[in-house]
Amino acid sequence: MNVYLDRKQRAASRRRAVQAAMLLLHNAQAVHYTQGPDRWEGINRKLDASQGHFPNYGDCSSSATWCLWNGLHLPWVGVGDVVNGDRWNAGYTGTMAQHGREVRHVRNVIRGDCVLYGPAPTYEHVAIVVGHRRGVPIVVSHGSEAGPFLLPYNYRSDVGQIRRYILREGS
Amino acid sequence: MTTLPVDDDPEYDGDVADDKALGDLNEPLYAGTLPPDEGDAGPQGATR
Repeated sequence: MNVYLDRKQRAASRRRAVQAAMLLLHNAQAVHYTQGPDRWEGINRKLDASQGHFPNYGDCSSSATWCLWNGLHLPWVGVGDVVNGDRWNAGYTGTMAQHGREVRHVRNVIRGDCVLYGPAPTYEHVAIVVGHRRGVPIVVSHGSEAGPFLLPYNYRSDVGQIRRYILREGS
Repeated sequence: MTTLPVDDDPEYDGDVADDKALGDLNEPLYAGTLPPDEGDAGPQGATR
């Protein structure tokens, strides 16, 4: 089934994805970092950020994927896994790099876009854009037990690329 | 799905305008000493 998201629907998706990311940020003490199977807790347990529910475990890619799942899958029935291409069952930075579409210019980066860091093609870290400050994209990054953190997108010097998953083609 | 950059697709000009209309984020940025990112689970951790 093809699902097409219009401009208003995409804006709503971005709001929900950002809401999820900010919920993680505001509950950092309860959000732990893991690369184990618990990293998929958010989607496994169908935790809805709009209801104030968030996962207690995650790594960078599972956290970003959960935020986008909140923005895309929960509100729009039929939107497939446009983030990792695995029915919302799995993924990592390498699969995120293979999906969505690249945003080449920083001036076109918007909320819900994801910044991939490290060496191509698989990269090693990802963070989700939640806003701007004086033209600089701001991200929520969950890369360690102390996080998530709110940071400028270029807090690391190895920005690889920026990708968008909230697109017209929702499946 | 096409892999063309979104910059080349006028469909998304409106999305950029919508986003800019929201203004700047007012939340304080993290100002402490940032621990190193531990990396991603990678393909071996891709499945749940």
